[in-house]
Amino acid sequence: MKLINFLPLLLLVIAAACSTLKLQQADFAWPVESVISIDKDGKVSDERYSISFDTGGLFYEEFEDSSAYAGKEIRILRDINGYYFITAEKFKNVYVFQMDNGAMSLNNKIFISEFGVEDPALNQRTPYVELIDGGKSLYLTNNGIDRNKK
Amino acid sequence: MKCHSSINKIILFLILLVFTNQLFAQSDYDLVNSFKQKYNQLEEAITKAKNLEELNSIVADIDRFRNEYVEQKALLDKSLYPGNFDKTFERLNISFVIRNQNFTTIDILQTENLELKEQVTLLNKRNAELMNKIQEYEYTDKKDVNKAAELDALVKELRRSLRKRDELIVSIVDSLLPMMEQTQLSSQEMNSIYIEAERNNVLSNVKHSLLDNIRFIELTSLEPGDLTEIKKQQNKFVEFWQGAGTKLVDIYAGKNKKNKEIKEIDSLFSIWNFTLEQEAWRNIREEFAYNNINLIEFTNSEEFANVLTSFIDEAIKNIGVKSPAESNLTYSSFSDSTWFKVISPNWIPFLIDNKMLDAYQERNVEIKISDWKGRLTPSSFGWMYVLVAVIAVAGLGYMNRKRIFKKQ
Repeated sequence: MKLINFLPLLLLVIAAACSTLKLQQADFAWPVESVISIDKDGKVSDERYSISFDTGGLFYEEFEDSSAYAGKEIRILRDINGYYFITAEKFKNVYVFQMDNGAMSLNNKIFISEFGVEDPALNQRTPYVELIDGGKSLYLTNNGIDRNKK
Repeated sequence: MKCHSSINKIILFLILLVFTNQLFAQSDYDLVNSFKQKYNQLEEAITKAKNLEELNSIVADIDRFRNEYVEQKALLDKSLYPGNFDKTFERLNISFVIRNQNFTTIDILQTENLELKEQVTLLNKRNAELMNKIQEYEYTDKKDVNKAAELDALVKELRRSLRKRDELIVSIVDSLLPMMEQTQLSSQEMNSIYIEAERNNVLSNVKHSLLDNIRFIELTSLEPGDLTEIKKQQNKFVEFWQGAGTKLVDIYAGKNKKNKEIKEIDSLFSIWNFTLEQEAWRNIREEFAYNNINLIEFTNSEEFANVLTSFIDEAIKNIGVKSPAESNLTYSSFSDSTWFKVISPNWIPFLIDNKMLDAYQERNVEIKISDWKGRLTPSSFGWMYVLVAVIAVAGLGYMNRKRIFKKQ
């Protein structure tokens, strides 16, 4: 009987011990996007944010041609939650990636235009990422376009 | 009409709307880049400003630049890592202050140079007058004691004046040196030093100075002490030219006429040195001539040693041909009155110090003189030995006869 009385307390202690430690109010936002030229092997690297990855897969996903990166540059911006927003000229989508154990894994693929963006730029507008193209703005989160935000 | 006006207003509104929308929808990346670009342009303008006036006009541009971007300070503070908005303007201000100081220094140097330049012009004029006066005196009666004293005073004044003018020229070039000391000068900086050098007639003054120094040696009769002084001054000037000259060559690179002038200056240094050496050889020859020893002309150490040894060889050959008195007179004029009295104590140290003669050459001449003396002695005093021998034999004979008479 006594054991039954202590059981909730015991469960609470066990639950607290198993939960993951979280450091709250983290801000991963980059102040300004990085515009990075892709090298001949399809790799990009940014000195300031110490990030580098291969873009072959991204171009295959967009154009079904993993070598379409030649002579191109990508625009990348990290939002407050740590998601990486990537797009480039002629892309129909903005890709949202997240870190995944030594890789960048696709979190969302946000469709923008059937004709592809002409002159895209990404701005940090916390909590959104603003996509500009030809003077038009769209506000994005990792979940997609926020149509309510003007 | 009213309808037409309304349509116009709507069109204008739509245009403004599109324009405003585009203004708002500006890329942060482009904004940061344009800020960086404008910063670089201003920094370049500061570095390339040609004068204080041009530099000061940039202050207004910096203010405009700051005002244009101050609203974006928050974005720029984050984006200009490791710098920030304020640090960027601090850097611009530092560049401005440094350049401003450069101009102030240059301004002071230019004022100093202007004064130096005026002094050089005055001295050039004065030196020309002195040289002309000296030349006039050279044609007049040199035995006139008063005139000789006046000439001497004029020569001393000219020498002082020449030295002062040379020092001024060195000062002018020295004032340009800090600008030339920078390891990598831009073509614009090279050009401004070139303009400054031209404004001060650097090449023309150096050339003028060298020509005057050459003319001074040619005009005056100089003692070894005077030549030693001039040699020191010459070495100092050569040293200066070796330092500044090579830098000036860079500054004048591409200016063909000026390059030719630099080469001309190089050759004038050689002529100055050659004139000085010739003056020494000519004066040495005159010292011998003063004692009636007429030597063939010599212009270097080898010729000098050869002429002297040939003269001695000839004199030795003439022993017995010429009368002993004549031979002795030649020897004493050459050796006692000239070589040991004037040449050896006064001229030989000058020649050796200035590498115009080596110790072996001097030694060879002295051995030759000693040989000459040795050959003169037996022939001059041989008859005395014979006389002594005859007297001795006669004396012995007389004493012998006396002894025989005593015995008898």
